[in-house]
Amino acid sequence: MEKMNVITFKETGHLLGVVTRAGQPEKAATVEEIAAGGFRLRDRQNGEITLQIPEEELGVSWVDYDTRILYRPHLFIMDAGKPEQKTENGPPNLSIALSGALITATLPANVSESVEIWCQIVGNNLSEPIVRSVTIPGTVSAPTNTGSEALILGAGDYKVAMFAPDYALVVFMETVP
Amino acid sequence: MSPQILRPIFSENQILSAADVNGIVNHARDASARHNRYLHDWGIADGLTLTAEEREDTAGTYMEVSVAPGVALDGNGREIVVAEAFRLSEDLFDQLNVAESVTDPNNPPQYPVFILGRDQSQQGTAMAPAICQGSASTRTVEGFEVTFGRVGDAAELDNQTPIQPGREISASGTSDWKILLGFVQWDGTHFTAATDEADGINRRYAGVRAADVSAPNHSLTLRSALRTVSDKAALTIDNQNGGEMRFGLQDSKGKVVPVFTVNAKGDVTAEGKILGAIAGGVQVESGVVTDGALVPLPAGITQEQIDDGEATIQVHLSPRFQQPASLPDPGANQFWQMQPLECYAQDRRVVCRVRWESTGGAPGPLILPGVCDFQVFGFVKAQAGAS
Repeated sequence: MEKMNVITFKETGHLLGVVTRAGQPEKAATVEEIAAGGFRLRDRQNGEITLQIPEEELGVSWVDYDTRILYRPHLFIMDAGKPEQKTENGPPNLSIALSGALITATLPANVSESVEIWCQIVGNNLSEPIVRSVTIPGTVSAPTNTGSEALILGAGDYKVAMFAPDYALVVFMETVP
Repeated sequence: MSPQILRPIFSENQILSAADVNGIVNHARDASARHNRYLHDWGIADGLTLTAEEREDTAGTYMEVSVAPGVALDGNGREIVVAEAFRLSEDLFDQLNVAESVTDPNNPPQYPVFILGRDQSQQGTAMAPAICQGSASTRTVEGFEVTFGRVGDAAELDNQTPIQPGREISASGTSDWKILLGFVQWDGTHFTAATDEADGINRRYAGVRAADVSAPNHSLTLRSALRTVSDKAALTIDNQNGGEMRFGLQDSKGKVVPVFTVNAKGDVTAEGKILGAIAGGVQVESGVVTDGALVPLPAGITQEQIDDGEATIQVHLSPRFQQPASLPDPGANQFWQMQPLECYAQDRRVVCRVRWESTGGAPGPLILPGVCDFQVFGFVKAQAGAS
């Protein structure tokens, strides 16, 4: 079966892009070959928000060719070696809020077990992207859909890529007042 | 005075001393050692594999590790012969104190096993001289010693220095040359495994040192295994068809079944694909790429070549108009139309944004990262002087 290379965010398996090679169809590509220097990600509202995911945060998986993935890779997450389509959502239901002292992750639904949300934050005066996780501390007795942790940021506009399990990746702007 | 090579000569009615006879033996042995030292690379010639057999005691199972019979040449040209299987000594390993005190059970240390040549006097009986002269030794055992090293010691073996050309192989200090036989694992009491390789370091086999190799029968073959072992890579140079070089796997009779042939005119016949860039030629890659990724380079062309100006590429992108299945339903008798907003390569990074609009006006337009077909043409500069 025809194969394709999918570029992923290593920590969560979210798909970022797709590359096929007719000249080397039997050989999986490396991150260096198809995403050296990082992957330039774009939002799906108007495509104007862009941020670069660092090369060291990327992986490449070799999967069966599938046009659903090819045309909308951002809707998929690698699950047990195969891309699985996930729910599309976005702010305010699926969001990261930045207060300047705290980072708060919000999911559209409560979770009854602890969930780790990964995000990348760039912009304003940051010299390097911030890549970090936020834990949503859900339990069976106390389900919740939010979790907060300390993150000091100066006032200004930031671009955020949010990688939440079971949700398609989302890219948006967030302002620290 | 520098050492000289002395060859004994004899005259009629000469009474031979022990030194005279030993001179015959030593001259031949030193000549053989010089041949081994300077015309061969040191290592295992045959056999000497480490074999592990499972054993059991009250504490559980362990491995009894032995060295199989075989022959090796050390870097001084000394021949080391193991005539029968030799069991590795756990007591010796323990006494040498080479084991690491803290180990990772998921990545246990691999301790190198070395063999060294050792000459030992053997007390003679059958040829013993007169009683009053005592029981002098009449034979030397050209024996060996098997020892162990610490983790990492195997990487130091190439730093050993051979003796000078005029030095006798029987002189002291010539039998310290270590040859790697493999590696063992240790659980504090017993060996638990034996392997040929650890950390990329393998058993080393003897080689040949030659600047010129000539074949007496107009055919020269290099084999990666014995000629009777089929399906192993081999290379033959001979005068068939006016002179040819053929590479391929050998069959059960040792004949090379060629997949790559070059004749004396320079004509190349290859059964497979030729990968890699050909200077002065064009390499092509094509496929599909999404916004934000890099277009991959053709096989044989590297980003380093492009950065160094040794190669250039041209990229052609065409946005795909195929509708993603995940777009919302545009309504009855309506459909989605795509308009490319931008589609180009910035260096090798694809910038492709497309707008999907429903003919019914609702749902509203979507601006999405796009998908492109690509072709990359790579041009490698011809080397200076190449035609």
